[in-house]
Amino acid sequence: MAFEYEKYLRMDKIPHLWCPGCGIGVVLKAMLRAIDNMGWDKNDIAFVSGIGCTSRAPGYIDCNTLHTTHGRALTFATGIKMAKPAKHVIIFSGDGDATAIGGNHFIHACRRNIDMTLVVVNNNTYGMTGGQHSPTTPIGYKTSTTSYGNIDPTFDICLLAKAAGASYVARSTVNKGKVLEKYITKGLEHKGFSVIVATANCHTQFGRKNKMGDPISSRKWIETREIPLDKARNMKAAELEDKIITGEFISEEPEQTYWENYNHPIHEYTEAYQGIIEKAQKKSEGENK
Amino acid sequence: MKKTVRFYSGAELVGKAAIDAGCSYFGGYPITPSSEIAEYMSIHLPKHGGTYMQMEDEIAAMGSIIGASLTGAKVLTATSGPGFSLKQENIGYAYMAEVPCVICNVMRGGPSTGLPTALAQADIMQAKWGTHGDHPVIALTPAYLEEIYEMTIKAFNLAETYRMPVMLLLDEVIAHLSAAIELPDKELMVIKNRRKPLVPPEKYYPYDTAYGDVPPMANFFEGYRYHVTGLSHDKTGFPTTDPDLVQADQERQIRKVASKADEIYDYESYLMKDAKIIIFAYGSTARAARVAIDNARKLGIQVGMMRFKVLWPLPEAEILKICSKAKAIIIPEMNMGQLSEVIERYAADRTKIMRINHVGGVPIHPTDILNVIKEVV
Amino acid sequence: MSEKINIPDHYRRWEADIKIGKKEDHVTIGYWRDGCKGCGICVDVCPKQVWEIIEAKDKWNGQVVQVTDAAKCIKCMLCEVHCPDFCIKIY
Repeated sequence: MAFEYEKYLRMDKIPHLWCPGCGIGVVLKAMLRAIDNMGWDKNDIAFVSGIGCTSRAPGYIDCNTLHTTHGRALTFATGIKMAKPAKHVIIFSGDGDATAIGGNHFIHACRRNIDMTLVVVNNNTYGMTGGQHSPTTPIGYKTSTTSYGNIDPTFDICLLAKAAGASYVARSTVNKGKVLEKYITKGLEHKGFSVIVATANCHTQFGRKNKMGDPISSRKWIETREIPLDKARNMKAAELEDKIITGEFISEEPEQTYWENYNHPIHEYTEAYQGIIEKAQKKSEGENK
Repeated sequence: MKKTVRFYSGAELVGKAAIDAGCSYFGGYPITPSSEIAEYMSIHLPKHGGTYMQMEDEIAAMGSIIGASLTGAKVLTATSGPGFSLKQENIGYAYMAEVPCVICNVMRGGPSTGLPTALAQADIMQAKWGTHGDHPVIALTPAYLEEIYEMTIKAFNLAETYRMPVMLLLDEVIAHLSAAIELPDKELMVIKNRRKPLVPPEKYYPYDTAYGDVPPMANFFEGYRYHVTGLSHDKTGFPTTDPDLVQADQERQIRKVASKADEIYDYESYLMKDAKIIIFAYGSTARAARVAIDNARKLGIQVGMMRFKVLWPLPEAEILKICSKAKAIIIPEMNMGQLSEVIERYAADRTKIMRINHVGGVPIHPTDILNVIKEVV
Repeated sequence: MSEKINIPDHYRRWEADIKIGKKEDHVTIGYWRDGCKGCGICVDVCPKQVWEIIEAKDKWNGQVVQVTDAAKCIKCMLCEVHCPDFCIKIY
């Protein structure tokens, strides 16, 4: 049955400003379905974004929405969550926003493991500013600032999140809206910091410079590069160059090896802070006696 | 009435006053000479059920307090010169989105890493013009320990009343100064809270000017699902590029403080009645000026002081009056003349402005000021 | 069955009795033309060629989509899930 997106949208703001065929719309829809899966009250949800194409998403969502400064969404979100730990905080970000200007906030949000969900729409470029290369632009590809081909090595956002301590990390692509929905739902259910990366098409900026200027060919380009994590585990490094590895990078399976479990956080932050409050209040009572 | 005399440092008083004012969230990053404020908050905030967050950098600290403030918390961050520079991006956001918050800057020498951790008063213009674009500004400059307590509470009251960031400018000397002081009764302090909407959510606009220049502010998670952005916006909170709406919004934001300046500014007059030579001072420098005045009076020199407890906005009319009758105005400050430049504009050619500018990190000595007083005579 | 379906008024609708495998079913496809930007993703993802691109002079890129034959629909929902513009509803 068709999903009632209207329930979660500010319909007077729709149609949205994104280009025809933009992947962000697909990710946004997956996110709204995931929220519906959780059955949360809209009043209890805060949506936070930074700057860029993705950052316009909260404006369309009928929740408490916050469109912040470039790269800083996670810092505002941290303040919201720590001030109101019982509420739900979801952050919507892009590759440049989350891993370039917001890189520091990204790794530290992962490290703290605060119970929030970050959805990163990775379109391999800075779409809004005219298609400059980002930390995820693959080597050799052209952008408006890498006319001779990009030589900047890339971040793998999932591996970065995992190494920094995020406790649920998954990646899928815009070609698989239902999988995205599943991963985001798991992220929302998860107690701890979860990162879901959605590889998306920016045919208008990134595609146009790389002979895939329409949404269909850009989506095909993503599809052909996708390798499931289980398959990737047994592949050689050279074979995986330029590939998009999809799947769940960290979930809560107890059978993990040391390396898979390496740096896995030992607690969720808001709960741990509750312990601090209790300790401090106990001490305070002792002082007052 | 219960009286408590205790030993406090200036930094501790900021923390204590903040908690007494109802602050429940502190986001910070270690930097001297303001670290003691963070340390105090990390110990005492959780006792009151509040949250202390040490963020990954100054930018994050500022962002996190804005986030917390949107949920209804009263929030504080503390920093010093270089950290204040980093915070400017999100301070601008707080102005644009009209989010109440208090930013304490314990000033040290600059520019750049400058003089850790020596005295300066060189950030007073950054407190005014630090972030890009136009905005109203309120900055407080206490000079005594008791005043730090009162003015920190006042900073929270102003932030909540005018729905904006308020700067609490301390300098290294008064932040690190410790003394046994008697605090005013907490119960007698006036505590103000932000005005909340009285209309139901479907009739609420976050920047509705129908209720005056300071629109009522709904907290997140209380049923008012509205949008907050750093983009220029209309009364609904959604972005607009309509020149008339943007113009009107900017003008309103400036007006909300400018029209209430006479309620906000605060100064202390010291021996002003018969004074022919006037000293304008603020912060710890005013303490030296006071000693210099006492010494000058012993020599029969008629000198007085206008000490700004609130530096921005300034009491314009009073300053103009002084400018037209004073023989000379002496402005000692721990910078290259940031306040002097402003006062010179008021004075035009009506009186002589004498600057005393020390930027070496060592406090201005009363003798330095007395020498200038003698020079004028 | 179709009476119960409450597609917003501004949606164009197509209906057909369909067969998914051996199971008989009924499909109602809703399409919001004003919101459609003519990206063509629905045409691309549909395994049964239910959608086609048509010319539309009023649109920025000169095209929108329409349903060729609702009876071909197998309710896989791929078009609904992947339409970035909230323009397709399958019941």
